[in-house]
Amino acid sequence: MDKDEQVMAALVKAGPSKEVPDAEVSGKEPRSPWSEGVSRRSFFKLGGLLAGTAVVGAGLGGCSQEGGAKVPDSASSGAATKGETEIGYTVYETDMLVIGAGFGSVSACSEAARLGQKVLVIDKGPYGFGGACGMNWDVVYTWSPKGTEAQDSVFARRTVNKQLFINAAKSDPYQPDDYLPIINWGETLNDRNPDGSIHLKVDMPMSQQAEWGFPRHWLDHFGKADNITIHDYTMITDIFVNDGVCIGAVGIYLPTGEFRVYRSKATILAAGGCTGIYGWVTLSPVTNNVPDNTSDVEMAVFRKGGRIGDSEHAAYDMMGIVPSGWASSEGSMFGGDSLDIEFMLDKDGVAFCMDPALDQDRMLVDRIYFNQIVAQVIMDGRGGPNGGIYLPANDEIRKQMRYMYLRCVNLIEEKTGADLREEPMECLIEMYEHGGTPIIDDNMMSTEFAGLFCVRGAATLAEGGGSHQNRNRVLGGYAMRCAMEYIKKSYKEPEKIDWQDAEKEFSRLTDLRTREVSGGIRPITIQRKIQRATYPAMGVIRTTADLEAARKELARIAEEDIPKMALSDHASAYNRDWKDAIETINLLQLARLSVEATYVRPETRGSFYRPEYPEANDDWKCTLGFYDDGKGGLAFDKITWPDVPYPA
Amino acid sequence: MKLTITRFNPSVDAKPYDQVFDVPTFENMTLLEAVMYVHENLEPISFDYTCRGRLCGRCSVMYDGIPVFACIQFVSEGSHTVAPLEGFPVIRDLIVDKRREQKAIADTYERVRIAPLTREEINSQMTTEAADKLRWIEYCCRCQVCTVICPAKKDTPQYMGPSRLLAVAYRHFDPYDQADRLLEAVAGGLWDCQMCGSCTKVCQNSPEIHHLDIWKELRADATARGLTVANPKGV
Ligand SMILES: Cc1cc2nc3c(=O)[nH]c(=O)nc-3n(C[C@H](O)[C@H](O)[C@H](O)COP(=O)(O)OP(=O)(O)OC[C@H]3O[C@@H](n4cnc5c(N)ncnc54)[C@H](O)[C@@H]3O)c2cc1C
Ligand code: SF4
Ligand code: SF4
Ligand code: FES
Repeated sequence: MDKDEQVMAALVKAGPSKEVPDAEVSGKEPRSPWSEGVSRRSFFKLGGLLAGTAVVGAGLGGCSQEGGAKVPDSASSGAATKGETEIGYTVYETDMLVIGAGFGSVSACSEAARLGQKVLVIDKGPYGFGGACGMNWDVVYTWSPKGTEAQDSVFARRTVNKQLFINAAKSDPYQPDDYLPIINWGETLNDRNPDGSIHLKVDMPMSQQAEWGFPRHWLDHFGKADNITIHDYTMITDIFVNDGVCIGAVGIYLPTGEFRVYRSKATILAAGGCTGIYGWVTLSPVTNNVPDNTSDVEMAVFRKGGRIGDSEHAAYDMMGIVPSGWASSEGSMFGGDSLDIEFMLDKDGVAFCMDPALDQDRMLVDRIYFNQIVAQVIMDGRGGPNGGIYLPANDEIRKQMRYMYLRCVNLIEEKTGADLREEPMECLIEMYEHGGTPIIDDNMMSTEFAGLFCVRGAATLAEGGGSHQNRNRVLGGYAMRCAMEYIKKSYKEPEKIDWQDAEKEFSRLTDLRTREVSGGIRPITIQRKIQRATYPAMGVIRTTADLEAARKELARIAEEDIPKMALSDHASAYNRDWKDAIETINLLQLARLSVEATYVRPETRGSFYRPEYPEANDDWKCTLGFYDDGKGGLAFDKITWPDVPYPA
Repeated sequence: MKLTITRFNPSVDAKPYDQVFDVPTFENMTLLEAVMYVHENLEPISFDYTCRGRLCGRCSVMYDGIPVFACIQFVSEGSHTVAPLEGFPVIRDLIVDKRREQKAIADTYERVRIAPLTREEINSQMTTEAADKLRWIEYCCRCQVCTVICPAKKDTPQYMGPSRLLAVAYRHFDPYDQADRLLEAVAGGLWDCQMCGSCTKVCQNSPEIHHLDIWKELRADATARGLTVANPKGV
């Protein structure tokens, strides 16, 4: 198929109706320049072929609310959806769909470019500006100089599904083992030695690191590739499933509210880690990760009966939080790590890490131990008004600080007039990455939905709590190879496509947008409640009391608040209230899974510490695959993986 | 504060309209926090952001008529206005569609080469001088705030504008790039620039990006190659 054919579509013309997306009424549609070459006329030509309409009526909201702690798919009970109406949607067709345009996606695309596979990439944000990868910050790139296969123990340590890594390594002729490809994708890595050669920040047999990485160059490079078409500002809200097989995804083109079906032979999920459940400080949860990653697709997989793993695992760091709006941001804040232990203070100015009862040497090498020391001080009430510990930006710290943080110190001092040598910054432990992804097999494919491949699938990042650039390169590339193999060997063209699965999702979304409830609660209000309820339970120290309180409040939100969720804005074009509503349901579900998956583990594991169960328990050395028990509750499978030696 | 927000849903409204909101302020409150206050407490507003710290440019808006990043712009008591970034089609309220220009910038940044670099070339062809110049341009987050304010862009619409010219400069300084970037700069309007420095003034990443120094260097290199015009601006 050529590029034009690849994205062929049929537009379903619903008769003029006030529920038809605004764009179809007005004909003014902001178009993405990244998808130029896609002829819209072809949609009309093919109009008859894929025609279908969805009828939305009251009660047909695709919403099941069966009590218990179950999070309703929608918010229907008792709500009236305005009269019967037809919904139009556009269908796009591609062989290979990639959801997300961050590090995972670009890594999958690099493999597609190498192997000549055409792909259609979807991103919720403007292309190049989405996800953690789309922020223009100085990334540290890490790799094992001996490749993934031989000496990757640094990365693989916390991985549970080791066979998957062996498969990934063995099938990869270009295992990431240095900076060569990165530079050929447009980077200059301009931290250099006096002779102009690349300066390695870390240079050890098992691991090398280079700074001053700006991955936007990768996005430029692959965004220009002939085999890659991009649809941005498009939020995927569901996977498209026929007979248990994932045959694409569905979502909303945000600028107009147009519904879209993406019909694909294979779909790769790379929609990032969601830290959006972890508290709230005026503009963001306590995270330096991004607001767009709200686990939309992962939670859609859950709603459809798929299993979700690793939501109990997250990765943490320490970052400043005042001034509040800049909390944890990589572009305006600085934080500390275990190199700064002598400078970290409690609210009384005590350098708590230096307590002789603690193991300072261990803090240096064991990030998790260090995080727990800090968390304990905060839990003991020795933190500041926001519950943080204090870090001054004194001259010693400035000397060892990376430039990207030093510029933040300068910004804070310039804008607030503070002298951070004298006035230490209050810092919190922020969650920068998070699991909570579909269970996959050794070939990256969802165990429930053939055709769906997940770059961050459960048991790959596992106790590590989240991804990084190197993992994305290994797993993104492998996901693409597996998906291509699937198209070649296993994919069967459905005899007839049942569009109802997509139409049900459009009904749910329309219901969310249009429903009116007396005493309705705005989604943003509910979202804040979820974030506040989850914060105490999802830190690095998780007490049983905090977990139980979070479970209770999340169940209450699901039962009482979600059915009352209603919007103040019913328009289709970039409706933030609507986006909030869709995201709120996903955040609630992910919060519930995260708390529950911790709660059932009578142990301490990975980044989290349970004071009531201070040791790891080998009976729980497994992935928990959580699914909907069909009765309004959650059930889980304990999934164990063969203990193959790795590195091989 | 009294915050006037320019609102617009292009598929419904005939034209943009203003709405005034009462927003309680606190110390070091940012414009983004003020808009979030309205969204959370008063009325849904369509606005965009991701990084909360000048890394993405997605929050850029006009504040009292000046292009800023809402995320690091502190607000004060009194009456203030916030409107979508000028010069771009409005998607809704404060969200504009910058994608056409962003694609042009991204395409300009793409390195041009005959063949991929080898490890030896990577390590032997870069100099610390070149690396020093490249390093600071990296911090351009492509927000296009500088292009919005640029008088040369207004007087000479075919001028590529500072955000794209920076991309050309980046590849001109990149020893691995093999295209004729000076020609590209000159053809794109290097001599149309009025050397007024407004770009640096509005740029929120100006601790790193010193446009005038970069333009001067490009002009010097262009002059050395004889790529000059009869009436250069801003000399
Ligand atoms: C601030 C920060 C600094 C980090 N620094 C480093 C570092 O220096 N080195 C390192 O190795 N790792 C680092 N990491 C960790 C890791 O590398 C990044 O989080 C990385 O970006 C993860 O890649 P990803 O593809 O999984 O997610 P992302 O890069 O976040 O990409 C996810 C993409 O999916 C899109 N998306 C989300 N939902 C939807 C939807 N419903 N529909 C369509 N698209 C959707 C998003 O818009 C986004 O483009 C850092 C992380 C953060 C947050
Ligand atoms: S130079 Fe500054 S103002 Fe211009 S696009 Fe880059 S970051 Fe924005
Ligand atoms: S110095 Fe040149 S590029 Fe910058 S604003 Fe003035 S005219 Fe525009
Ligand atoms: S939110 Fe990214 S620059 Fe303001």
